[in-house]
Amino acid sequence: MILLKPSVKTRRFRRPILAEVDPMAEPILKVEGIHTYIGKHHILQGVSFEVYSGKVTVLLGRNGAGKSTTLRTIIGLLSPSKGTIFLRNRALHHLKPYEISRLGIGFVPEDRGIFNSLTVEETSAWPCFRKMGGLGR
Amino acid sequence: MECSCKQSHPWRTAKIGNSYLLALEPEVLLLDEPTAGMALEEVPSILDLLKQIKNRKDKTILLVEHKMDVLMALSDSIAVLHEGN
Repeated sequence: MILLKPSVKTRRFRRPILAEVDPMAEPILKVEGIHTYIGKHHILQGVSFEVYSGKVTVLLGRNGAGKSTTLRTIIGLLSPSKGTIFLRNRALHHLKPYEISRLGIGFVPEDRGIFNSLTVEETSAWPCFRKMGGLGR
Repeated sequence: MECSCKQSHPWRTAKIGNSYLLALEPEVLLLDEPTAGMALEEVPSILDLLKQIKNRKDKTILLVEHKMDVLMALSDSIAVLHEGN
């Protein structure tokens, strides 16, 4: 995986520039060598990257490269067969999605993942319901 | 507010999804193509929302995006995936 920092040079498709990352900064999210299968298909084949606190990191790639699979693996909807995922040095790769969510990771899937049967008002009230105790899980 | 989420326009559905997530106050946001299915003129509204989140500096965002203008406006770093690597 190549880590690029957007700049005038990358915009003009010249040689990529390595990201300037503070060497003392600790990544908030660290993905190391994850392998994920969907059925028989080996989708992620050793993906590694780091995400730093307060920054916006973009995953880029053509269709089928494994971008959405990477996000679904981080949130726990898919289990990696190999590799590790850490949030502030806490391992996530054996946890259930609701446990990962409670540790402070939120996920909006491409289809938005909202409840179609609810009204906009009911959907907006849902986070308050969860903060008040929710369903207990 | 009274209409069902299913009846909402795509850009409104995207805003509902993002707002719903923000209300839960996660530290890290994973957004899978937040502008997918939108007309080009609708993209700036989501872009503004994401810029506001970015400027608050208390949220970390991991984003999957195809639109280069969104990508250039928001990203601090870019990770390129190629055939699962």
